[in-house]
Amino acid sequence: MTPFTYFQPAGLEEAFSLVAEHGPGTRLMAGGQSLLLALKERLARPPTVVSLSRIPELSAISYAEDGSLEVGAATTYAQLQKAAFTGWHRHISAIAGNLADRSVRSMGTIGGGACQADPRYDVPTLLVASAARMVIGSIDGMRSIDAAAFFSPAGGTTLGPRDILCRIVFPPAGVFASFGFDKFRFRVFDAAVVNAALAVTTDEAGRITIARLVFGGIAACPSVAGAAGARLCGVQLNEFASLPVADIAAQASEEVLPIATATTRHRQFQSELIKTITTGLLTQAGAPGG
Amino acid sequence: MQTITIHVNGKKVRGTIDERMLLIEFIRDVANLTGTHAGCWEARCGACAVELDGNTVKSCNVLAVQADGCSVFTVESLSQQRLKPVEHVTTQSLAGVYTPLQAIGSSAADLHPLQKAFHTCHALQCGFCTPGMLMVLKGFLAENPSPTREEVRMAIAGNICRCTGYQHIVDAAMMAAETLRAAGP
Ligand SMILES: Cc1cc2nc3c(=O)[nH]c(=O)nc-3n(C[C@H](O)[C@H](O)[C@H](O)COP(=O)(O)OP(=O)(O)OC[C@H]3O[C@@H](n4cnc5c(N)ncnc54)[C@H](O)[C@@H]3O)c2cc1C
Ligand code: FES
Ligand code: FES
Repeated sequence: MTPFTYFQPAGLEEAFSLVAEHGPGTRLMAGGQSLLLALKERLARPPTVVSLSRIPELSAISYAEDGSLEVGAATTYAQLQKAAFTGWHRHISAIAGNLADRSVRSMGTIGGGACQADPRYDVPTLLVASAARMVIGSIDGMRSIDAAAFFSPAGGTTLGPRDILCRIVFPPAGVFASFGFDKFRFRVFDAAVVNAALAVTTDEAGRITIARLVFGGIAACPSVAGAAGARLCGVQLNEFASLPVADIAAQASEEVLPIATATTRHRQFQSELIKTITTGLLTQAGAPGG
Repeated sequence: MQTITIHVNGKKVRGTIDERMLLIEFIRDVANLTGTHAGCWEARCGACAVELDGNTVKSCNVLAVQADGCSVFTVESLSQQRLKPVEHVTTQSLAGVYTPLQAIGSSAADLHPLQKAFHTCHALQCGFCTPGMLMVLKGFLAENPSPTREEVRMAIAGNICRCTGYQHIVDAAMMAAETLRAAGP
């Protein structure tokens, strides 16, 4: 590590001004689980580190009036795993409780996972599939953007140097008629080779209106299989059994990772994994209670 | 440099440290408790696990300044420490006593149920991973007193053991869980 000055602000306003005052070299630290690895390797050499872990509003979980779930950016995976969620929000707990390992989950935060924007990690896929809103603050004020616009296609995030991710707003517990997440990794605490999520909304008649199928680990940011998802629209959830599931899975795979570009063993393996995981997610979505 | 205070095993430890100091360095070099081991320094092996304000963390991947004002429990907190050797421990003196516990003037009665189970089940060979295994399992069993073997394996997924092949560690965790259940909350 190269030397740095460490600040531990107790409030958001103080954090905003510290970041503005100390300039673009400043790094924010939530749990430090990714940042410290970079500091130790001297991949990052910030003169100033601003900790977000002692700002109460950044680690609060609350509900908006419309039932949206608001999660502070510095909420740890361990907190999320233990939270008493209902509906599709339970998947947030399950995802938070099944990444990295126990000790990393005590420190690592959902906002850190989002801002690290490593496509192999689970948080970006979860955020894009669930169409979460990212509430960003800086000394200039607050704004919010869609998760899909938060991740830059070239990798990383679209955050500016003075920005702090403050909250993540997930749609209400009843929004998705079905939600699924799955991933493949070699060892339990490894990052995924491929992860995927499927979020489905239906109209009053039970017909699918949106089926967002998102993959992580393939490109520099989460990949959305728009055309494969669109094939599900108009279908009743309980009619899934009649769908050509394997065909849709193959289409999704071709869409996000065209087999012609899969020239390495790893890429070919990913292409196969996408099919297997998608088939599983579709089958599960069609099953009662999926 | 910053002056920080961390409560280590219930004792206030103050130190004026460089911001770059990791929690494990504070524990080993400032608090002088060397039970916590550093195997990889990159959050992979889990040997450095300690309890920080009630949660298990990898102390090599936390800055000491992050833990300022917090309470830390290390492997030394598991059992009463009477590790004052009666006499200087040498190979010769060790050869004369039957168990290592005797050699350091401690007794099995002092051990935490997890430590006792590790001892009984032969859940350590070199012992390098043991402090981390014990601390992670302590937190895990408090949360899940009746785990399955599979759940124990998931709990120690971030702890690497080069010696045992894990079977005996899982055996020990199951045995400790039973003892702890019987002892009640
Ligand atoms: C051994 C190990 C295994 C892991 N395995 C997995 C895995 O299987 N799946 C998985 O998904 N993840 C995995 N992770 C990664 C883990 O999810 C991330 O380390 C964690 O989410 C990062 O969160 P953090 O709070 O520690 O972030 P930090 O390390 O503190 O920050 C990460 C980055 O985000 C920036 N940042 C943090 N918070 C904000 C904010 N609010 N606003 C703006 N910028 C911010 C920081 O400046 C930094 O650049 C693993 C990590 C380790 C160490
Ligand atoms: S030394 Fe901390 S995890 Fe290996
Ligand atoms: S006993 Fe040697 S590493 Fe586990």
